[in-house]
Amino acid sequence: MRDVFVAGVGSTTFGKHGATSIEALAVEAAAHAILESAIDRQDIGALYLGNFISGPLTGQEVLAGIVGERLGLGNIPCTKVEGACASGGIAFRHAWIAVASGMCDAAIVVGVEKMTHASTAEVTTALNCALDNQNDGASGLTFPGLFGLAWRAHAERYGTTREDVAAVVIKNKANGLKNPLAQMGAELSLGQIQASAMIADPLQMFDCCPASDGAAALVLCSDRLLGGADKARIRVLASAQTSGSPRIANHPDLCSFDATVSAAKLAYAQSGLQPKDIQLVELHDCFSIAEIIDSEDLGLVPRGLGGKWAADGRTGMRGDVVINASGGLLAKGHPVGATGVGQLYEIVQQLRGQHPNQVANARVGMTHNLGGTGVACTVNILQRDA
Amino acid sequence: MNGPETLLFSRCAACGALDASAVKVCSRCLASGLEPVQLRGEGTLVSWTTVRKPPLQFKADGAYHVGVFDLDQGPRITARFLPSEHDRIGDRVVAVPAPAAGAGPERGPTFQVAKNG
Repeated sequence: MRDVFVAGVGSTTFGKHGATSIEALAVEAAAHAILESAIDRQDIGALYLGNFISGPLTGQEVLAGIVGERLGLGNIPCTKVEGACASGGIAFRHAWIAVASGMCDAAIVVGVEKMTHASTAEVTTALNCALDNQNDGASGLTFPGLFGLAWRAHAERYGTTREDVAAVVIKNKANGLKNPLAQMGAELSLGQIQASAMIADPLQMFDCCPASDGAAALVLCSDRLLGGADKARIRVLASAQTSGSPRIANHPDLCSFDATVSAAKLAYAQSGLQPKDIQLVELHDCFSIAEIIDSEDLGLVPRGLGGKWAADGRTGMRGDVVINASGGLLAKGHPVGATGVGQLYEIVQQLRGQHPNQVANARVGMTHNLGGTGVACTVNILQRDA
Repeated sequence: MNGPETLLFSRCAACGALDASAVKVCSRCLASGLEPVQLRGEGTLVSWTTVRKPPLQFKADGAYHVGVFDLDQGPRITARFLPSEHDRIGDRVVAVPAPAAGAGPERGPTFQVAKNG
């Protein structure tokens, strides 16, 4: 495998884009990434597009081909990738494989989703396509419900409290205030969180990420196409993807996602790094309790202490490991198919030293993107060359 | 008194693996001879939640409870739950007739914590 670098990035804001079509969002982010990369479009040999529910929510499929044509990429292979909320991360990994394998010298990954025009029940129904509906669908389970189940189990086993979980919300919402791409940064108090509507007990409204519209894109390239010495060399040290069970019944532990544990293990092995080397991570906080579980599954926080570390500020901007400096899904937003690519956008800006909520001396960052019931997971590690 | 409701599963004729799904191929040994089997609706409570934002097909149900249960005969399942105030993870549960089953989509079995522990 060859070394792979990030040559350019682009992103729309995450939030409400009522008047803008899904393809327009994708093209806006992708065009920015191509222009920033300064790579000739003729050198881009493949496009991978992460998207989850454009079919049910917008009635538009074949998005990869539509976006590729609008970008003037000719007749290169354009492929839509679906893996629930990990669609963007999986698309990124395919673009990485295309360059790392030598199949092409540059590839583009785009993630996009458009959700805010639909009602909560319509969005819930569309997202429920990511359950194993033959097995778990009849119970009426939803994704907030799954994380309500996980929270109750985590609280029972580790003593995680409402206050611990709220610390994640307060941190990420505050980080989101500093990110101009974020949908709903806020200065929140424990009292406001406790007073918010119950969604899937014990999950309350502020524990849940919003539905979002948005797109993000990256151009990846080999060393040969990476620009001159004036450019930060952002290297992909590891890109791992694994699977877990789509069925709740086959998850032996509701407080952990197998796919995260196995993807992290692969990513550490590929990169030669250990959890202590990770300075910052953008991880999949679709719900507050998810950040706690993810941080433990990634080995960044000791098992059972995810809530306590958040409450003690150890995952904040000056903590032991900075989690979701962007605001995460909770504050930046969660346009489901775009999220994994958006996380990479955030880490690249941090490693370039150009982030509006900059982590001091950021050199090594991770992304973690989880789909469905943990049925798919990607973990990437990026590094700025010294 | 009435015993617990039974639950329809499949058992592989070749290797004996139990499976809740309607796929006719065993996931453990890939044999095709799955046979229906009734399991006792008895087990323990793993966790539960209350779904207050249902998907479209269950909107008429309003708020409802969903739990995860480990059956004594092996499999873990996700199903409707009828909680009461002092329920705890690890409590014994039994499958009960669905309340007001009525029309509409399939909702699967319903559990509640067993009386007298």
